[in-house]
Amino acid sequence: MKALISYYFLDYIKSYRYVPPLTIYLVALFLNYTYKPNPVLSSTAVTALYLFLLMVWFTLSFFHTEDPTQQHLTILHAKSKVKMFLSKYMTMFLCVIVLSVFSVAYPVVFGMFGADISILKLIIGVLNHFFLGVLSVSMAALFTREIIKNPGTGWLGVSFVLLVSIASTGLRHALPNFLQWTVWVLPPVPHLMSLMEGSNVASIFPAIGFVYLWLGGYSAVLILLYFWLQNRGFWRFYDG
Amino acid sequence: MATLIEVQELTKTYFTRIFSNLSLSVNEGEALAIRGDNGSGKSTLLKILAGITKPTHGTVKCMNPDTMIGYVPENFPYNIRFTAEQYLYHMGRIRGFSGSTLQNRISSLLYQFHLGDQRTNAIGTFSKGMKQKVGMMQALLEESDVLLLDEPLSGLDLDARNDLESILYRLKSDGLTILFTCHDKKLLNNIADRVIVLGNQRIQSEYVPAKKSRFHVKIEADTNDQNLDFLDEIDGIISKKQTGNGDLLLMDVERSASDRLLLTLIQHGISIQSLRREDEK
Repeated sequence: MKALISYYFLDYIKSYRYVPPLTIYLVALFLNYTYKPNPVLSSTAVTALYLFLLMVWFTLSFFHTEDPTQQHLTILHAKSKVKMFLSKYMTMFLCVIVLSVFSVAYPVVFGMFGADISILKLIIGVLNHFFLGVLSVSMAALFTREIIKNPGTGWLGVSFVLLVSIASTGLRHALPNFLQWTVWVLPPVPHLMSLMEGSNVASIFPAIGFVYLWLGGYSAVLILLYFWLQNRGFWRFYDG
Repeated sequence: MATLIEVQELTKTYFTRIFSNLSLSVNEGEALAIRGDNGSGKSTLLKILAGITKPTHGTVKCMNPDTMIGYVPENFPYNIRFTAEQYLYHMGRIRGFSGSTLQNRISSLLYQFHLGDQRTNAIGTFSKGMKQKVGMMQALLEESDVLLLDEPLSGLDLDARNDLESILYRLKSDGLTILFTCHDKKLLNNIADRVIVLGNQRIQSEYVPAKKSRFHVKIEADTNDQNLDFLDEIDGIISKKQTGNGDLLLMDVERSASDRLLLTLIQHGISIQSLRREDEK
């Protein structure tokens, strides 16, 4: 697995496909901290939302970086299709960890947070980025070429899900009563955002724990769904 | 020859039926060519044997479960961003080799495939023939028992074809079992021991190709008391010995190397006494 992750990471770095989403993310992050002081919880929640949006771009470009023929060969060398795809997830999760730590470390180093700064709030800030990033990777992977053959359809599909998941709170009010339950099926992004509106850490416990569990569980289900869809015979691409 | 792979009643459907109830066996050390029109299922059959594609029905059984199969696709992957050495290193590491074992293996492969001086060059800058060689090297990273090649000479110029053909011939001589799809008559005649023709979703025919005779050249030369150390650096000498007082040199030389060797001998002041063609059995 380590050899696969290292190969994929180097290949992605050499492809330069990460440059557009990374640039946009960094610009958004720097703009977010143009003025100071900033409240820790709500400002890290906003940058976590940026990461949630941009990890979709990272994931789609990363999953499509390797040439399809080379992917056949990599699977043959790895002797396992599951191992190969898991290592792709792991590579993206490592990127999420690096960006999560950077997103919180940057305002700390440059003194952009207000007096309400505490270790616990910073940890929550990193976890917000991490869980939203992991959710984004898990969601975007379902729209990659292994599942959706047409790249255009994949981009449209994932953009729709992104919009709907961010707007789900408003959507719930717009839906008739008997359909409001459907909102609970959508990625639980607004729940995390609304928790971060306050500045008191004590007030978000233990709810924050449940939201993290929900985000983690939701991502795990999406990853399982990805492998299940492949095993159901979504192998058009390989059989071509 | 012992059977190495047994294919039984293989059927593949992908939107339409590609082939059905296809049975064949592959013997150890043989070179089996698969011919057929476009869409007859040649590449699909190789992909099934490699384990890339699953058959709709039927089985592929390796008589020895430890049989190692290497696969070379028709076109080398597009957009590989590594040098030849880095690429082979990554593939080998993914395969589970240690770094030191891999370095030795890669060096040996690069030498065998005449790409030693290209090891640090980016694959993206390689010609199609060179890329095809890298494709073969990745398949041989582990000592494979079977090599599957999909149209190995497709789109190559004459020099690259001859080069790859001689490499394939050497691999075959070393005992490697080779399965390849091919349209090239010369390759079929020179390499294949058996040819199967796919068509109408089945094996239409099977035949042994007419072999073009292969021969080597026997050279007798007067050494004129010259130092013969330079011969150690020349490829293609099958055997050499000196008789009498050491002034008569007898050599068996591969056909492909004979012209170059004769020229070198004359340049070193050695007189050619006789040349004879010796057909290989």
